Amino acid sequence: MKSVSQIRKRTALIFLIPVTLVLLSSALYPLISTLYLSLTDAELENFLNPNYVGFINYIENYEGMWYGVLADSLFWNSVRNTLVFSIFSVSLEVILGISFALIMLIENKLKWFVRAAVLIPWAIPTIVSARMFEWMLQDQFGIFNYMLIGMGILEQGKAWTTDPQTSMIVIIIIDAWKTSPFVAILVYAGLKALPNEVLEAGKVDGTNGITQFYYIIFPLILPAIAVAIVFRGLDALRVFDLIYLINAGSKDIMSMTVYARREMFEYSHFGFGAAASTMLTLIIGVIAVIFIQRTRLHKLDEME
Amino acid sequence: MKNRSKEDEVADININTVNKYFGDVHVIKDVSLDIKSQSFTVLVGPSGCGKSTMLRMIAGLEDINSGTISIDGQVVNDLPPKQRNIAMVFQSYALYPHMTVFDNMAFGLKLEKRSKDEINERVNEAARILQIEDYLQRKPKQLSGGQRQRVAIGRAITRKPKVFLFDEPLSNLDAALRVQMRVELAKLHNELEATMIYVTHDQTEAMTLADDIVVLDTGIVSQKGSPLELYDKPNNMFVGGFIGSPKMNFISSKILSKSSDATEVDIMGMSKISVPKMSASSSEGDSVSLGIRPEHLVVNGDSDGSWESKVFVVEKLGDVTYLYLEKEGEPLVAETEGHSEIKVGDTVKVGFPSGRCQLFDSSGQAFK
Repeated sequence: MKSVSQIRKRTALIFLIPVTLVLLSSALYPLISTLYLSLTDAELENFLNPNYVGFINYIENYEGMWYGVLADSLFWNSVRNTLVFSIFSVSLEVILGISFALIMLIENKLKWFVRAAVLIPWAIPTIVSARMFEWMLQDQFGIFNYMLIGMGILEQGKAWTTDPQTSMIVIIIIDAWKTSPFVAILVYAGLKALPNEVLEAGKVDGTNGITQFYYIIFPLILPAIAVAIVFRGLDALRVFDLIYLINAGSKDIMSMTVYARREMFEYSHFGFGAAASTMLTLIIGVIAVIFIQRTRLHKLDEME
Repeated sequence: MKNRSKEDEVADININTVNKYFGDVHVIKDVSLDIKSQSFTVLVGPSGCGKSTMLRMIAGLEDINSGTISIDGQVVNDLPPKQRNIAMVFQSYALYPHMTVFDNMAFGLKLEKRSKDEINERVNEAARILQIEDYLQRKPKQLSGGQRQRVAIGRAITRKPKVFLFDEPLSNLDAALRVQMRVELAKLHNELEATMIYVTHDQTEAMTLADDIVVLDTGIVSQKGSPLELYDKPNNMFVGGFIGSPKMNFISSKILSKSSDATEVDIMGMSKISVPKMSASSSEGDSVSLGIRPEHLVVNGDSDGSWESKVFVVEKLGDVTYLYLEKEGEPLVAETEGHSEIKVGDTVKVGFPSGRCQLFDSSGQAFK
């Protein structure tokens, strides 16, 4: 006789098979083949029959000079760009997202309009929002320059998206505009779930708007904010579309993904590109683990 | 902030023709109440009667549409809760889940920017009174329901408010704990000598705790008085039926005759009884309701009036037995001794002692 718990365990295993297969084929296989590719000299000509070359795509000392992804200052530049983009865009999105969520909470006749308005940027495809901002920021005919010139702040139009000094800022602002709604929705759900009597107890204890937010609301929605940061952070570290769309060719704002893509598909250095991709995965993984450890996100159940 | 002495930690509360609407719904209708300093007043009534709304208006969590509420002589209509010198204990305890027990109890004092020493002293004092000293560093989640309720009460105590407000504080506890906490609340009231207003739908809590009970019915004060006043002399059928368990029996009847100090009515056509109650507005032939509590009916004994019926349910509770008798409409419940030999199907004679009977006219008002 099998016990009920044994039967349950077996049923659970059966149910786990499909998803395991999907994960293995869609995640593990590409991961391993990329890892393998990064250890070969694969280029377009020998793509199906590459030679194993060890770690020279990562780092190699050849006649006193260092070569490989890890020795490429452009790669480290792209790492720095990605980190700068991630830190600033996620911070901005969290601040804006919390603000939007608090605004969405206000009960009045306009609340449906406000909620819809907050969500619209999130619904617009990146290519559309990127082009939209590009046109608005265009140096000759863009409305932004037109307004700045009208106000006498600028003498003549500035090419905001191609200027290396401003293009990163522009990209961060577009990303914040686009994805703050995502943070807002998560935080809004967290705010909606706040127990009303706890807030009332706070009022009786003497909180005003600011102390209520600081001492009660913020600590209680912190788990929701942490979840939002993890999601947005991982997204931002993998950023590709926005940077590629705004300024594909610029080395100054190139992200890790743009760097890997360029090596692989523009220069056909598949082995080298795969090494860059592997490094990208490694860096994101390390950051994610550190963040989740530090925020104790994996212990969310015990927090409450 | 000035140092408060024991005397001014307590306050009268005057509620003057207060009205409250939720949208089109008129939930509090011209309510006036005087709550004495240091008294324990219980607001009681069925759900939806407006008792919690009353309490929340006193707390300042709910606006008042008209009328005034004053605490200690000061009109507080437009003051936020923190300026009303009140503390409130919520049904769900409403502890701050992210703070330790200590921080929960200290929070109000921290907002008042009290010194560390004073906060420590007051929290430890409250913890000692409530016997929760061992849990001060725990989070609410690690506590049982009863312990959480103590912390909620402790949070109220540390602030030394003039008025304590309780919103059904025991209704989330199990029966045994509820009885225990009830006793402790009564003790606490004696110790603190504070004004306490307590909302409940449980009439046992109302009877045991209150100096004064205020019975609310659909937004009006049905009656206010001491527990025994309400038990002995209900103003109307609602209060008669609400106070007491099992509830008062009501029997449809007619006035047979009136004298200067009594009214004679019939008991389901079987006998007559002369009840020493009067109503100037009544006359012979009027329909009235005769009210009598199960514990006052005399089973198989002599009394002023009597009625016979078959028993269709017997409830043995050990100390007493309740007999459910057949009557048109609702059953008539009679209480008898715990070890009664009466069985289902037996015919019993119930006697009505005239001094225990209440009469209510067709609008539900009591004869005096």
